[in-house]
Amino acid sequence: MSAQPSLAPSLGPEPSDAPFYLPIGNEVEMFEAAWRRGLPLMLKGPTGCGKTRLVEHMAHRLGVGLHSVSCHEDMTASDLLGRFLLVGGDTSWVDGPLTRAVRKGGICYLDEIVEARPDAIVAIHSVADHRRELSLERLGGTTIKATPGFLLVVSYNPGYQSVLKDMKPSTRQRMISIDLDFPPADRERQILERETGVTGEIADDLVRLAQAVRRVQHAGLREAASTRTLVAAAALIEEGLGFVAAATAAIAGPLSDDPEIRAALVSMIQTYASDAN
Amino acid sequence: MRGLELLAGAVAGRSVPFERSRHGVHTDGSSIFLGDDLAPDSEDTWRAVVAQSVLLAGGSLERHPMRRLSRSGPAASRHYLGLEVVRSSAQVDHLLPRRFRAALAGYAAEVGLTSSSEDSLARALGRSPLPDPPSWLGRLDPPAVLGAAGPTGAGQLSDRDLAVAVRKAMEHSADDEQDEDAATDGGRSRLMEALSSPITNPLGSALQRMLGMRRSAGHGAGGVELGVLERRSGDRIGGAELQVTPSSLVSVGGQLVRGAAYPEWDCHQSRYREEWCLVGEFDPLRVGGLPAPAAAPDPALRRELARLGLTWRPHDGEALGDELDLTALVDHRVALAAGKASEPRVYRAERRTAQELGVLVLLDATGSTAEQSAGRSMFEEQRELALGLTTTLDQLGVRVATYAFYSRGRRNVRFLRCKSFEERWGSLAQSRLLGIAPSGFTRLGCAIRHATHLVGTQAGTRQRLMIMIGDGIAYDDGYEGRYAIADSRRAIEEATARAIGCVALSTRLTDDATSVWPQQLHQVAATTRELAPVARDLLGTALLRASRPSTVRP
Repeated sequence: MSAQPSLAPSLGPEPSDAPFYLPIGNEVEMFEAAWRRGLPLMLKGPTGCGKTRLVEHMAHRLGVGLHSVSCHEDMTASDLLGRFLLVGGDTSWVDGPLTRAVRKGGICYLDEIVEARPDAIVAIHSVADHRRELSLERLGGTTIKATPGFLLVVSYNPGYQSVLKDMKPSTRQRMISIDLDFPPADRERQILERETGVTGEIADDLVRLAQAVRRVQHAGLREAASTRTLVAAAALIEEGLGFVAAATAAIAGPLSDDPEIRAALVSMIQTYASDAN
Repeated sequence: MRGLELLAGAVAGRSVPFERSRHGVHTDGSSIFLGDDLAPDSEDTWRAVVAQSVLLAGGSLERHPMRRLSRSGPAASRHYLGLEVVRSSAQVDHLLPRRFRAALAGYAAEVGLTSSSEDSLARALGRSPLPDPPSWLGRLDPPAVLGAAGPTGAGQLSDRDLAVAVRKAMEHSADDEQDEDAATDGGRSRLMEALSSPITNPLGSALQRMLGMRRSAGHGAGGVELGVLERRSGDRIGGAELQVTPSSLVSVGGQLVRGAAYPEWDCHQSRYREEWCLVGEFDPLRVGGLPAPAAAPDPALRRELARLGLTWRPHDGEALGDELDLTALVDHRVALAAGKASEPRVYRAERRTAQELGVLVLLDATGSTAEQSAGRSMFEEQRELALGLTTTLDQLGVRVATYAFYSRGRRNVRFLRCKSFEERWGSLAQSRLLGIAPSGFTRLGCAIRHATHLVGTQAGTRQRLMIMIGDGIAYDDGYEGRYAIADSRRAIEEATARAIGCVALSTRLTDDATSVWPQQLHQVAATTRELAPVARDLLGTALLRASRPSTVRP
């Protein structure tokens, strides 16, 4: 395993204009170590817990480019690798985002990788193991060695697991994994205050509500009150909306079209409002 | 789900069912009882619900203190309640509403924090005076907590007695299986005996109604297990692994048939009862002389369902696409070079044209659907709906199977095969469906488990769906009320976890169906024509939920 040429033996203090990320455990150190060694990373965690923000933060901190791809169920290998397009009477090859990252270096981030079709997932195998090269069969079998500084990062929400959508062991074992979860109450409060400027008590109410909702044994509800939705609710409150209105719009509303669950969640939000508005 | 239920579940950290009681708020250690005298959205009510949920979260209702308190006066219970709410709420303080904490703060400061439930017990029973806890905490009823340990719930001894009597009567009728008339009469008179007890029981009328049903000739009652060769644990929710052994012969009702054993969810114990139910597959008797069924697909339903379950398939010679179709490209260039007009359809593209849907239509053929009204029985309507639906799906090229089911106790759940996935939907299969008459009871959870197993293993498609057509009443020997509903809901969740969508259709509106089936997965439709306008949404929602188990299910 060839070591990545490091920019500095250890990174200095975090640049002030980096996207804000408050570490919960050792994920920042782990990410950095993986980048130095060129080990592909799998970020696991519920939606809205900060996976994408961590990647943005680290790309900024490591000073490398970020190529993000949101995977979807129609995404094929050629969406990642590139394809021939017919231009006039000729065809010309256009690189996909993974190929671009491999050529230029930087982080290629595949968000929600299980959503992608299996052929797209298999396409990353050769670049994710010791070979660190991409084989472009459609480009006459060209192989491209990964430029130093290239790192493959995928994210994966274990909550989405199903018979249809799961990662193969052969894909999983090529990665090292960082398990993320919603931050503990005090950290989450800090995040809300930092991201939106809400004051202590409102942040406290929102975090209490989220902690409670996440305990409900109900698939889907747990992820309803994610850190992302809390930040949105707090931002609405900062814009002058009431607690119940803001939390309903940011947390209960997007969650479900099921009127029953929605009503139950709204009434729960009301009990967590310190003032009745 | 109501707001209070959600709140209680959040605080207790597990789902807490709600039941009605005469007055006040209390818990039996698994459910919370809400008095009819309370306004459901008043401040005191939700605070009491939080207080009682806190007890559930903090382990305050252990047997020892409950036994000790049931021997002491009401004052000791009240003080124990207050002390324990204070102690347990400190443990889950980070997630309680601040208004709750503020309301409790005065009392909590006066009594201070106890170190354990035993400490609270000692202080509640002790001689030193304690301030009265706030009245809004609800009450503590130690005998109710102690009595709730059994699977039939607290204070329901009469129901349990009844269940035992019903089971005995059923077993007896099984012995008389050879002589059908005698068996029916014998079973019936014993059941009537059991039901004529002085206890007024809402089950009575339902049971009597079911027993008045016609029995399908040739299907014996009562199940005796000889040996189980197949065991299924279902797809457990919560991490336990899936156990499936191949081969499958079971003895149901004295006959060795294809089938399987399934676990059942015991909501009182929060665990599965292993190999609790036995399902066997039977061929319904062929009834001669039936008119040829007029099975034409409903055009409206057919139109609505035409795009359902289609998945992607590569197509050559497309105008736009992922990659070049070299053959088409060469043809195109050759055509141009030869001076012919040619469109540059030279790409390969994925288009949604592949039929990847497998559906099992499951008809509830239980006695409760035999009831006549407006000249037709609900069962006849259901059977017709099953026929129309199967015909339409079959025409669309969907892999479809049609079964009916009923049960006579947990060891005798019967699936009647009208059409398997492999069979042609011809007059033979159709007459099998039309020959079925309602009979027996409804072990709903087990039926859902077997149906989803069949569709999961035999449909062979990427998208799978089970459509239950029935009245949604879950009732069988030792299978009723909250227990039956919880098991049925669990079975639906298990199916969703296996990426198999579940949908229920009723021909008439009944309360029971809505208590088992989530709102979005249940539809009242008497005919395929009534079903058509909502069919795509209904079945599409079920498929979507199954493909993404983390989206919200009520």
